[in-house]
Amino acid sequence: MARYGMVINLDRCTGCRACMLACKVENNTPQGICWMYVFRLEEGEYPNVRIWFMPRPCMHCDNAPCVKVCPVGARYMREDGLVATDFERCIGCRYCEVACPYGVNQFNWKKPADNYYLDWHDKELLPVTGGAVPPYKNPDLIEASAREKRHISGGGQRIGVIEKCTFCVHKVEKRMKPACVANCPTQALCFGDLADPDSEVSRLLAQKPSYRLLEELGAEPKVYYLGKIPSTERARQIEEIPCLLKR
Amino acid sequence: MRPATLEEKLWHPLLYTTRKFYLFLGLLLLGLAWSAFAWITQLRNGLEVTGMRDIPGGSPWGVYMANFIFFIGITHAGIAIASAIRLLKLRDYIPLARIAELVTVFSLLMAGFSLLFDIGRPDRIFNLLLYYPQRLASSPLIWDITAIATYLIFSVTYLYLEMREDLARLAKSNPRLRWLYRRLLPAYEPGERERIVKIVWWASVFNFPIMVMVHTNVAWVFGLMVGRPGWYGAIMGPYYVVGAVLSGVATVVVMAAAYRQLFGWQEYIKPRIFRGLGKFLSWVSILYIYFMLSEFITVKYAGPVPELKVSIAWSSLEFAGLYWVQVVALLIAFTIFFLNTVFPRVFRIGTTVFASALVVVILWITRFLIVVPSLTRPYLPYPPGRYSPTWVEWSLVMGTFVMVALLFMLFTKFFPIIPLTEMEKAEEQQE
Repeated sequence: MARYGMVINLDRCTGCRACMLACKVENNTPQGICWMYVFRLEEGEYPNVRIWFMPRPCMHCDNAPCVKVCPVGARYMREDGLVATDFERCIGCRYCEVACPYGVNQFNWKKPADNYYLDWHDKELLPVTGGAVPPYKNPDLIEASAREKRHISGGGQRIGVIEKCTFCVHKVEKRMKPACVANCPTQALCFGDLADPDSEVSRLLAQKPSYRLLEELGAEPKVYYLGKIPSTERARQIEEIPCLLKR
Repeated sequence: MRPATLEEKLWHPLLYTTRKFYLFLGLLLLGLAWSAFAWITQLRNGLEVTGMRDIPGGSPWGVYMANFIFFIGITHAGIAIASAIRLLKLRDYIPLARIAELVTVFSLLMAGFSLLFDIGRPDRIFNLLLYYPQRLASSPLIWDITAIATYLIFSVTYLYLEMREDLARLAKSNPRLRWLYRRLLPAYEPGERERIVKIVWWASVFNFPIMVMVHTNVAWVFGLMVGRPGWYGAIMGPYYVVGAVLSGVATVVVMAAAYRQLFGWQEYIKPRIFRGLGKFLSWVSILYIYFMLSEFITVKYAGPVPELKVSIAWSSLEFAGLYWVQVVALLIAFTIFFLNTVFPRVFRIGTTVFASALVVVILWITRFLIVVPSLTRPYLPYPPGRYSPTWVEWSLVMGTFVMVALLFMLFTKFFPIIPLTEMEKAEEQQE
């Protein structure tokens, strides 16, 4: 059985955030919700300043805290190691979000249809659209997953449920790469089967020293980082993505 | 004119209703209507109308969760006091028994409501039952729901069993509501009291482990979360149990004082009761303060940097006002309880009740300070989260308190709030 994971080469990442955009387009996530998040970090004072970038998808942990705490089993681990969210079962208690040390879970606070970037009900827009253009939806996200027949792919599906990075499970099932990996211009992201010693991810991990985020918490994440030392607590985030949902 | 009997005095509120009652009832119903409006707003628009937001930048749990823990804490008192009264034969405290049991039942209901307000899909609430068997082994929230359900069933049964005798007597003296009491008394036999006393005694024994289970479970919802700075730790269980004892008993003191004042029951709810409970609270409150400061030092000194950030948020950033008010107020409450205990001459009921009311309010704030700061200080270098509750959240929190007041009022109108039969038995034995 496959055990999917990701290897991220921080030496290659230029912080362009193309992966974030690709993710949003592929998964139709609503406003202000970024499943993939690229930290732009800096450390030190002028002239001794260091800057680096760190993409942060869902870690798809082997010992996932979110899977353990879910009261209805909406969050579960698939046989291929992907941690999935059944948005038709989730009751929206957000316990997974609270339990996750990486902060990858995103809740649909607002009705997703009213929460996309273009307001289709805008008066200025009506003469152009004739009031007839619905928001674009990726048709690949409609079907249930191939193996266990549960609704787990895509974002903005229902109000009041948790969603998060799926490693583009709908594409992985068709033997394609996740959107962020496929769209990375510097090939900093690499996706594959960790259980297969000949896969690209396994070869990368064998060649170079790697680490995982917050390893000491014991969640056993399946996202590995190469190059550049881990961010320290002194690092500052710059150019952060603000939450666009008003409070 | 012959002096009024015990029965007449204690059942006065059942038989006569003043205009003030209707006025207050109207006010409460108004408050309830407002909360219903707030809830409908939330159901229509989703949790967007609350101040909660996702982890980079927000706090996914807020005052609903704080309210939930608060009410779970309050539940402690009731049945624990009632059980202690029956096991240790504390005759003076018998008038408190039913008030205490009701505090348990009503606040368990309100804890349930708080959870219902908090979840994003209340329409799928039955998923909790549907997938219960497969999740029982791993989700602390499911343990919690198990413990609460057990406690609710247990406490309602307990309350009902020991009320049967009073209901049977009421069916005679309050003909207006005889139909109600008859309905509530299936298979009643005049001599059943003795058997019920035995059942209640055993129930009182089993109550204590159930109670510890409930509060430890709530603590585990937080204390087992390794992914949140400031929560993970073994002290959470005892910390919550002590907090529950403190807030629960304090609530009963306040309720008892309110009933005493409203219905002029000074001779039944004696000053001795307040002295005893105050003495107990002085020990519990200092233990709670001790646990709180131990927790603070652990988070501040030994923890990794994110934990340090939580302690800084407590002690000097946006939560500092609440945090230090809480510490000072608890110390004041302890001082009052302590002085009342060691210097019998300075003891006043008023001061004990004031300190208890203070404790109840502060324990709500304490719950808030456990939930929110940890959620606004995530592990990775995200910006700190901000959280300010909206009017919808405050309205629903207010609604739970209004509902408790309403339930107490209605119960007092339809059922005996003081266990009369038990009191008479106790008086006979004393004579």
